[in-house]
Amino acid sequence: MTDTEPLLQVRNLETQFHTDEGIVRAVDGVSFDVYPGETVCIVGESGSGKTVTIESITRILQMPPGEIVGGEVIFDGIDLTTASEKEIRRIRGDRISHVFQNPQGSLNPVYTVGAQIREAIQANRDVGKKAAREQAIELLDEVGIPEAGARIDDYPHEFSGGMRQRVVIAIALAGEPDLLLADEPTTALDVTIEAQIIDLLLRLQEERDMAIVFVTHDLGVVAEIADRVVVMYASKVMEQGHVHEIFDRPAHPYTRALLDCLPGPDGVTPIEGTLPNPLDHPDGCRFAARCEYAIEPCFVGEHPSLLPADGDEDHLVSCLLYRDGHDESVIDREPRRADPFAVGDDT
Amino acid sequence: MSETGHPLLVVRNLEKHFPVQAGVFKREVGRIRAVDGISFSIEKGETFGLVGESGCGKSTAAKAIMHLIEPTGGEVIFDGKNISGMSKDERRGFRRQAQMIFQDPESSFDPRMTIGESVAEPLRVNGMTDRERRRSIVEGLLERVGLDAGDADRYPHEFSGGQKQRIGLARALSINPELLVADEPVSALDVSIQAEILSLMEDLQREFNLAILIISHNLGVIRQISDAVGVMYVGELVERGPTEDVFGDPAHPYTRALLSSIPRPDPHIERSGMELTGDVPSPSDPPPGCRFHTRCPEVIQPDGLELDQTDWRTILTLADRVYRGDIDPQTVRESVLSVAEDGEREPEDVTLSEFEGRLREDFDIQQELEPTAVDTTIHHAIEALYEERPEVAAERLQETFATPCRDSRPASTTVEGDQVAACHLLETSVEASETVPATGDD
Amino acid sequence: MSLETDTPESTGIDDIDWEEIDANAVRLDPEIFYKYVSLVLLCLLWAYDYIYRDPRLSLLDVDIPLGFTTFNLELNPGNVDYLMGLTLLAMFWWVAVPLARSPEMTKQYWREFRRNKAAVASLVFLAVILVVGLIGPLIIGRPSSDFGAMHEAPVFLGGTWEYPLGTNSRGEGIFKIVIAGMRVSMQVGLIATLIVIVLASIVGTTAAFSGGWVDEVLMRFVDLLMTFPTFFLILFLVYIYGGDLFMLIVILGITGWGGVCRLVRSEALQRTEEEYIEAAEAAGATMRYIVRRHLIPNVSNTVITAATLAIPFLILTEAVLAFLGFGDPDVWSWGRIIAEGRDDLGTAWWVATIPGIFLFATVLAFNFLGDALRDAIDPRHQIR
Repeated sequence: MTDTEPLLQVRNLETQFHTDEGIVRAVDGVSFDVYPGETVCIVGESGSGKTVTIESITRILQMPPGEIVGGEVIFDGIDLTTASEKEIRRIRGDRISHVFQNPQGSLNPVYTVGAQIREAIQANRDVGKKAAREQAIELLDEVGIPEAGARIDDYPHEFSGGMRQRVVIAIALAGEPDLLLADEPTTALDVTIEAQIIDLLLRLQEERDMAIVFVTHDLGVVAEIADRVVVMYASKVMEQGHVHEIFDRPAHPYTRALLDCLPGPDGVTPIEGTLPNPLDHPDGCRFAARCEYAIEPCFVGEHPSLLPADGDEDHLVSCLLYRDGHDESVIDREPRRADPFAVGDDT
Repeated sequence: MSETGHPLLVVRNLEKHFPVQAGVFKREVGRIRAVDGISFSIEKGETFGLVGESGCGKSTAAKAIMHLIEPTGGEVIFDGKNISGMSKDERRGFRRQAQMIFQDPESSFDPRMTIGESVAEPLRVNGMTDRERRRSIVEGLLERVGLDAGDADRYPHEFSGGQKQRIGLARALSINPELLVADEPVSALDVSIQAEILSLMEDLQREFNLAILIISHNLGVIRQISDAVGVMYVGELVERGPTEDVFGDPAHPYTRALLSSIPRPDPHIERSGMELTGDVPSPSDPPPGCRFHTRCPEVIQPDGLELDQTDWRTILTLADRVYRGDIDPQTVRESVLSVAEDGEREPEDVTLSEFEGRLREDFDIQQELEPTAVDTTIHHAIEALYEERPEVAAERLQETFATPCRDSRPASTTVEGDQVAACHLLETSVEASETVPATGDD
Repeated sequence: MSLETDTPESTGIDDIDWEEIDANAVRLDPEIFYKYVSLVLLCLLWAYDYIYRDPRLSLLDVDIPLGFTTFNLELNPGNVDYLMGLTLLAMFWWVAVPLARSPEMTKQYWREFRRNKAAVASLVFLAVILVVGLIGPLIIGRPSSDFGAMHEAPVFLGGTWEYPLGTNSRGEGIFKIVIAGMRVSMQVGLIATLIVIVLASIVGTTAAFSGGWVDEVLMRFVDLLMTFPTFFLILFLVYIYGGDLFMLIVILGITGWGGVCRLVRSEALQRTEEEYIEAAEAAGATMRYIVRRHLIPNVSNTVITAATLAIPFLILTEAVLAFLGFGDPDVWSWGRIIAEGRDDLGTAWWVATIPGIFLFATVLAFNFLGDALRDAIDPRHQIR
């Protein structure tokens, strides 16, 4: 995977919000790469900065109060943080598309879904109304809407939640993007519908060779779709690596703690303590206060930078114990197999 | 488990229908069968989980059990007494022994009351006028759920979602109830916080010998906390039984489908691929027979038919739409034209083969299905549709593709021990196992 | 009905003996007690004044010696004054006491409110108007005619300090008139608004919480009310009985609550969806408890804002009626004085202009205040 050039490079991205109480550093030096055709999952709890991270990529973030104050987002050689409004608008929707959590909110209730897909097509391509309509039907068919030809003139409220999310995905696909940024697209849906949407995304990715950045808090979804995983906590990247490494041998104590929170046959193991205050991040490692392996140096200085875990350049972890002079072997890297449904499974 | 010999809560054929009204005189034009005859019981100190997709009626069931909304039918028997027939005064006693916690930590506290006042509210409305005593109970409870006694004077907006849910537990426990009804208590919380709240609930249950009715769409949560579980689908309980049995060896195809669609936190497992098609039907117009038959991957085939289950499913989906009169031939014609990029022709000019091709493609029905008799029936039905005679189409399909799953409502069948499911496959398990492969486990 | 669970050791919750509690269920909240006591005292005073005393005689007429002089305090409150007393009591119990009881929330409101400088100035201005209007006439007395000093100019135009703002055509001092007018405007604005608030809150929240036919009946009544021709009713009554401030205030109050009621209802409808209402129901709370303890406090933002914006409208309405000659001839309404002075604008412009400025400033100040309150106590600002 590493022999091709990355499609998207996020380097030390810093995004802040100006609020009445002070400056919230929502994204604080986040870096990761996305290669063509792969799925990267950004996983984290609410308030970890995962949504702000992907909203910063195409700058769809509300600005103000948000502001990108540092770092680079390089897509196809262009730095999106400094690109002109015109350039970025050409990229948005055409080469990079968004899918949001709430399908209700991303569709305009007063236009038919056909009109909305057509609009997305015509925004990116110079085609006539009729051709656009035909493409819209094809897209609806592709995202699995039965009788697409008949349903194209329906209004969003005539679709169910899962169907609406399919429509949203169809709109996102209209520009034939290279990169799809999906922000919790299945969180509002029921499990049976969620499974349908995930399968749809995986199928589309294969057919179109499209890269996906998928933001979620659901580790089950991560395990299902991710090639690589970025674990975020308190505006920082804690760990990133291949999905198998993250789930089988998590390097960061936070990642393991998160895996242990899942309901399992022998109950759950909650993480003690609370999230740090985003207005005033503590010194040292952001997770130190809740970490069972924390040693004195963890509480001073900057948050540790990302280092290869196990000498693997593709598996990075930001934990002091992996630095030279410390002993990372104290960390228990065996997550409790937290699969509550392993019993009923015959595989 | 119960010393008194009867379960703490018995729910029998509980129904809650909402009328659909129209016009100036609020004439009833239909009914939403949100809860349509569910039965289960909870012992003292036991946890019963009610699980299902959104809109299946599980929250309505909780409210109807608590009599926050009046049930339309059935009985709720608490501690041997029938709540439904009770007077206002008698219900007061019930309210003191059954409490609720809610889904949304943001809206479950009055922003203008201190936490202390909110937690003390059940005591207050039940007539405890002694402020000092209320205060001491509240402080004890707040400490018990992991907060400070001093937090009683703070306001809800000063707390995080997880803390508010702890406070919600304190409020529910303030009058020392015997039954706690928890409606999606953790679904608004992060996983790490969910874990905290669930383990707190388990501790409190042991300590207070509480019976808990927990409602959730999250099977993992239900799995972890429940002793017994009920699976709801479109207002009905399709399966219930001990958690281990229901999740370990699900008897109803819907339970199997639900379990197999959960994303598993293990990248080595491939999902078993039993994906449900279509959406949950509306409770205002539930399908006849078994309500799951419109999506079920294991519908029983008529005698003599041995189709591949996938093909059978696609045929049934088409048949269902025809029975419901949902297919408008005119729309199909227009659809043919718009896909064929042919603006010259009128919808009337669409040929039968184009029409049939369109419908078969829409419903993923193979051309030239084997055996030929089946294919011919489908062809004739589509022809009838083409000729704008939907009744004839329905009749033809019904003749060949009649299935007990559509024709009659399945009765509850005991699978093993306390595990009960309502599925025709279980009633006729011997024949069924011959014709229908159990796709859940392959 | 007693609970038979085995009591856990370390819970801090003892078993509650509900039978005992039901037997002792006499609710006596000290605050409610004082609320009722203050209300009853006011009513008793009114009854005493109304039934046992000649209305022409003063309720209180004492000379207070102040060393160098004696100050004659004469109180002869009319019905309007008793209503004003009731309004002040309501403001004390419903605004001052809750604010004092939760100082933290008060501070937060104040922080938000303070940002709007115009509103802070308005608040100060209105407080002065209220206090001066209430106490001023008691000290300086009512304006009296002095035909030796007609159309005297204000002091800054060469007049004397006896009439600092000049006099009108009957030689009555504009200064005293303006102060008497403050009292009238405040009475109209505050009392009528109190009536509006009480009716709108009770009807609005009850309709929202009950739903069904209760909601239907109440809201259709509100529809009727909003099409009611109040102006013609007032003309009619003035024609029959003559202008009377008390009557005017009551009519403005009981016909003017429809709009606020609709606002309250829609706000309350949203509140009834909240889970804390359901929690209270699940705990066995009665409808009266829920409406009083949860719904009304939580729609109070809407009510207070609507009320603050209703006050200037009511003040203006009274002024307009007085200007047109349908007001109470016995009270010193700004509207009446403006009407009287308009013929002399060329020779004695101050007669109409000075009360006009006060009327304008008061109405403007209430509008500023209402806008700032809406921003400060909007719950969307309040949480987070």
